[in-house]
Amino acid sequence: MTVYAPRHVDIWPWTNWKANTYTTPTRGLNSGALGFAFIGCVHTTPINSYMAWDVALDSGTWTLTIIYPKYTDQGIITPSLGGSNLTAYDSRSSLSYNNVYKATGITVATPGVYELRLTSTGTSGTQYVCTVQLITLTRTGA
Amino acid sequence: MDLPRRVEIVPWGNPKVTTTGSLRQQSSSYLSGGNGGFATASGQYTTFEVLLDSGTWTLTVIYMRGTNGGQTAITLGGAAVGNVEHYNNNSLLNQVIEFSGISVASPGWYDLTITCTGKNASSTNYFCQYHFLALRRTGA
Repeated sequence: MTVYAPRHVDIWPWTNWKANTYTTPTRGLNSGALGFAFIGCVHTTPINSYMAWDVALDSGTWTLTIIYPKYTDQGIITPSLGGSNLTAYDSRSSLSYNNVYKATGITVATPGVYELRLTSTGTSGTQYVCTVQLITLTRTGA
Repeated sequence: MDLPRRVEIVPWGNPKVTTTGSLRQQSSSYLSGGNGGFATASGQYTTFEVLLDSGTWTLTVIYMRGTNGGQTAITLGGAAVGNVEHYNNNSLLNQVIEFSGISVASPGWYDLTITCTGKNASSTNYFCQYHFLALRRTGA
C-alpha cells in the first residue's frame, strides 16, 4: 500500500493537544470568532508557557497560518516547527477576533512527524496569555 | 512516509454511514459551532472512517448533555473504547471526556463508530449529540 504524507493539516487547537503548559487551558466561545471557539488560558500564565501538537508533513515548502484573537492581556507568541523558531507575532491589542498570522517558505526537508509549538516568549504589556482559534499548515511547493 | 498523528472529526460533517435521523444542529454556543449524531432510538449509529498509525491513541470527545440525552458506546475497529452518558437534569454544553490507552496494532483504516445503546430512565429521548471528536497518537 502506498501511503502519502499529508499536504494540508488543519488543527482545531481547542480540541486537544500534545502538551499545554499554560495555566489552566480554557476553551472559550464567541459568536464573532471564525470557528466560534478558541483555546486560551488564565490571565496569570507565566512567560515561556507553550502549547504543542504533533503533525505529519510531507517534504516541501509550507505555509503556517494562525487565526487568533487579540486582547490586552496577551503576549508575544513565537511559533516553532520541529524546533526551529519562526517569526514571532504580538497578540496584545484591544479585543478583536480573526486576526491572521502567516509564516511562508517553511522548509520541510524530509517527510515525517514534527512538533508545532506556540510559545509566549515575551509581551508588549504585562501578561503572556496565548489564545488561538485555528491553525493551518499548507504545502505550497516541492 | 508517516501517517497522521492527529485526526480531527467534525461530527456534523459527512460520516461514512449514519442510521440516525436529523444529523446536524447549529449554535454559536457549541464548540465547533454545531452538533451532530442525534439518535432517536437505541441501536442507531454513526461511523467515521479514520486513517491511523500504529501505536497508542487518545480519543477526546466534546459533547452535550441534557434532559433528552441518550447513552452511547464508542468503538474503534470493532473494539470497545468507552461509553458516554448524554443525560443530565439540565443542559450542559461542551463537555469533555478523554479515552486514553487505545491500542492500534497496525497502520490502516479503522471505523470509529458511535452507537446509541439506550437512555437513562429519566430521559425524554435518545439524543446523542457531539460537538467534536479528536484522536491523537500518544506513544509507539
